[in-house]
Amino acid sequence: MKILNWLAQTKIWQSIFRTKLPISTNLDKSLVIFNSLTLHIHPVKVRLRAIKFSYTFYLGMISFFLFVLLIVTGILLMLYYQPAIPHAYNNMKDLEFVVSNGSYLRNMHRWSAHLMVITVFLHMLRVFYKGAYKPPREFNWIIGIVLLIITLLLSYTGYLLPYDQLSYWAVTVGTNIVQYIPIAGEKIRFLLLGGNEIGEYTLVRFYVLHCVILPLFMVLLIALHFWRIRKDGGLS
Amino acid sequence: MNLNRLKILYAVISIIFLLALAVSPLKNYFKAWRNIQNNFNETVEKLPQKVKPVSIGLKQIWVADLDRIDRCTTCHLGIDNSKLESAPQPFKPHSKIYHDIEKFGCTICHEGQGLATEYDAVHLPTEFWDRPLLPKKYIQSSCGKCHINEKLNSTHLLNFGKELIADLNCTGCHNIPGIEKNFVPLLDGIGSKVIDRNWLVNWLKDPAKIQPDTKMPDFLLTDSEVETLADFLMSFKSFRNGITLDALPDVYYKNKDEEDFIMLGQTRFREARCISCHAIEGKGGKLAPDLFKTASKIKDTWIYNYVKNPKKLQPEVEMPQYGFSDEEAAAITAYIESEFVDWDDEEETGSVHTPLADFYEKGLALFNKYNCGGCHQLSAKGINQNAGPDLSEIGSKKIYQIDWGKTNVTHTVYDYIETKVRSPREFGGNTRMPKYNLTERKVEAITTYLLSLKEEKLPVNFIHPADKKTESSLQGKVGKIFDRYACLKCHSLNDSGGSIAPDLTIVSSQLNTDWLRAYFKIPFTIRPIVEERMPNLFISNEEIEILLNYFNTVLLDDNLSTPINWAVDKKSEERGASLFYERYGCQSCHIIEGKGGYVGPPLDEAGSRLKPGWIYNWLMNPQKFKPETIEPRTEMPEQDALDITAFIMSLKKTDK
Amino acid sequence: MEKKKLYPENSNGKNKINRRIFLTSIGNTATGIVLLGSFGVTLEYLSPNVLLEIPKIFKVGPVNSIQPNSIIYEPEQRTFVIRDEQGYFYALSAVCTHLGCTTKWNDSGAAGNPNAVISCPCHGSLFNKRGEVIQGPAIRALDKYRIQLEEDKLVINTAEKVSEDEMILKV
Repeated sequence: MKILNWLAQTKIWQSIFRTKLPISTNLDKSLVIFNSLTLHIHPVKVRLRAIKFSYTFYLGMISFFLFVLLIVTGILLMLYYQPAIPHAYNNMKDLEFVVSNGSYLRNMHRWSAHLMVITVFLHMLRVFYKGAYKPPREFNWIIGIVLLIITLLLSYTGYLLPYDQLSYWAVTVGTNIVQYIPIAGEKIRFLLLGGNEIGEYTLVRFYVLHCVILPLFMVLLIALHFWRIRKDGGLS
Repeated sequence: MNLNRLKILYAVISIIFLLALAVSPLKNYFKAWRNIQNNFNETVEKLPQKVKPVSIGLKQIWVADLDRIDRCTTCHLGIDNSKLESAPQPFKPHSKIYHDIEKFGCTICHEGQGLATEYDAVHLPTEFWDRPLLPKKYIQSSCGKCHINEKLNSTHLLNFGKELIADLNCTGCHNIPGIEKNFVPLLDGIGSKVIDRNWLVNWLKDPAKIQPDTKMPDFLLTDSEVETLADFLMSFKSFRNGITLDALPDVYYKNKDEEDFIMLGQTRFREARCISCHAIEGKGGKLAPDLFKTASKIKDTWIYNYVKNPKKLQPEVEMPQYGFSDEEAAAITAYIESEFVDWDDEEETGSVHTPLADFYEKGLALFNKYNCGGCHQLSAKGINQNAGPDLSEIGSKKIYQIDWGKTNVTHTVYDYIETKVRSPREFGGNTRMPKYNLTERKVEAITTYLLSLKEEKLPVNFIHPADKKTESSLQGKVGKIFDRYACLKCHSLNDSGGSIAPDLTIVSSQLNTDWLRAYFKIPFTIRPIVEERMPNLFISNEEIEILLNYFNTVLLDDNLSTPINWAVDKKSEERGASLFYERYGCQSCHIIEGKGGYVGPPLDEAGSRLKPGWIYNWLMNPQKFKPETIEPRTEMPEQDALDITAFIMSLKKTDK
Repeated sequence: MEKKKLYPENSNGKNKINRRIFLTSIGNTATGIVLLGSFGVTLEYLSPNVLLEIPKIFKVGPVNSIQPNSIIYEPEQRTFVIRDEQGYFYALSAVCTHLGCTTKWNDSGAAGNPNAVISCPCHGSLFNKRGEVIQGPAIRALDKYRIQLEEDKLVINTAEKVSEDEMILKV
């Protein structure tokens, strides 16, 4: 404890955490919250009711936790995956049969993804039934919807990567649905597939979407989402 | 908020996470292959032979050329170790191996999921792998992926399958690369050939009932379909290209019941060795239809015309045109008419059959539906090719592309092909493939060959295509003679032709011209144990001289001339004889003067038959000329070969 | 919630505190193990169990087809297999001991020195046919590999480096 106190007095600590220890007054306490990136997701003062489990079921946080889990396992899986037609399926087999804990991580990635879709959806239901989409939170509701769509897109783009029959036909059907968009449909399909039918380019495109573009948007929007929660007056 | 409950939640969730995390290392530790490798090390310790234990860990063969990774050797640890012959599976060594395991891997032949390391995933059909381990009976199909048309001795089932597919004329309906279409009778004039419409009806109902060894399959037609099709076919009375049948000579009508006349026919029938190709009641050759009951099926005029010149009525038939005179042909017809009759044939009831009004259109539709035109030619308007599926890549057919119908066949390609070949209508009522009565072995052979037809592109340096056959078509007079007597049906020439009789490519360097001339006149068999015999084709003297002239100028090998240092003298002959009998023991296979073995040809009179250069070269290296011969290559010294040649040349025909 | 429950003082409450501490410590321990364990699992995951690498052991031959005083270069394994004038065999690594470039064999020598048959294109190191350094920057002789005769073929194991005394295979 002494060391911690001493550490808290050093310039390095203070430059990082901007909080003076020991905390004694209510002002100090609120400053801790206020100055911390992670803690200031909540306003300085929160009604006890709002952090009760049965109030939000922590669904947003669980979704976020699953997202973090997906990023970690996803990055690990990328180390054994080559987005090329002759290798993709074989890489799956390698993960399943010869890489230590490979099938474990892959299963974790997959189940987390399924769970995340479910929790995000439940989170939305909760918000809907509690009326939490009403002003001033209407824009955050919109962001939430976009987040749901990105979650679904992440699921979908990830589906092609094993490159088996299931993925092949799922993507065939999906991109044909896109085709029905008026005017631009054909072009969007062509851009998505990188050609007229599923091939090497498609796999790389879906891989980049799944691993770079969509997660990037996801992270940015999650940050915005969290920030709005706080700015719109905390949990409701 | 009840903090207690929160703490409980925290504790419970942490422990759940802990348990979930423990799953992976535990699963890894209890992998089956680990157990098997430990087992191997224990087994090996108990063996009297010294075998190194393995280090525990995954093993794999990476074949970059074939883009395959096979982890079979993780468990099959003794695959290349002959010391482990007595060890239990999976540690046994591979049986006699033709390929370097390191260079080929395992799954290129055995299929199965080489990437996997769990028993079920590797060996059995699963949802995630289309190509389960190939059953042992079909293993030769993998040889056929690279050894295309090679006919290796070790792939007898594959070779047999290919022969069957050619023989049954599967290519009539299916595209199968590298297989030629067979002769099938053309149907023009069938109405003038068949005596009785009822015969055709019965034939269409079940061809095998009338002729058990027929190649025509059973199309499982309904009775009304049979009636319509029979009416349709019987309506074709005229022959192709306006050919008309020659009338039987008067001598036939005058003498057809005379015993002498029939005897003449029978003698010619025997001399021509018709039964080399045609069986009679199942006895005889299998190359052409059984002649039993022929007289109850075909009109005598047709038979007479056909015996005289088969190619007039069936231009593509392989039957030779014998040099029979009109009288002889008529006598043979009379013999057939008197002998090959179906005595059980019911007397005609006399009722007149009246075809339906639209029988022609309906018959044509049926003819097209069952793709009769795929095999039988018929000059009629409106005949379409209505072929079955392309089989050129059938072995790579994807499981999801197969319509399994209501069967409970295991979902693998080999089970599909096997079932389809055995009972073609198994997978649904609207398929039209006819039923062949195949034995299990034939089903296996055909399946094996079809499985070898794969889509996969193997690297060029792995492929071993047999040398493409150069179709030698002979021109001019010689060509006509070869064609007429169908020489190349039995004999081969420059690697093309039949495989029944000896190759003719260097015949003139092998055989004495005078002997050949006599042989054409009265062919006899040289090897007593061989069934196929050269028929007496009744070739005219003029034609024989043309052939001999051709043989002597073209069909020879200048390297096979008589050796320069070969001199015939008594001493050399005597020494040759003693070498023949004592040193090399040739008499164990060859007969001379009634003594010796039956494996090789008898050598009595070989001196009149063979040329010395040939004997000498053959003795030096028999396999050079006939790779499959069983005569041993003794590597005898030159002088020995010269002496034996002298001895054999002394065995001349003596006029006793 | 009432303050009472957060700081209970009666005997019942004491039990509650104990239980709470107990639960917390269980939770903390489990979480700690999970964190450490997942670190371990990840580390295990990161080291591959099977590799797609060219085999360390390779074969050259048959022996009688190799002329004395000749070399065979195996580009995949980056190895020179040399048969000297006496007909003896040895195997030299073609990897320069300076910074790992692939050296070249030139029978007529390099830089005017007929003995310098092995030269490195990157920084100009020269070696003689025994792999000894003639000119820097390399300071160490080329590696020598174990070479053995199996039936009629030479078996070279690039995983096994040998000293100068063991490098020669007399046939």
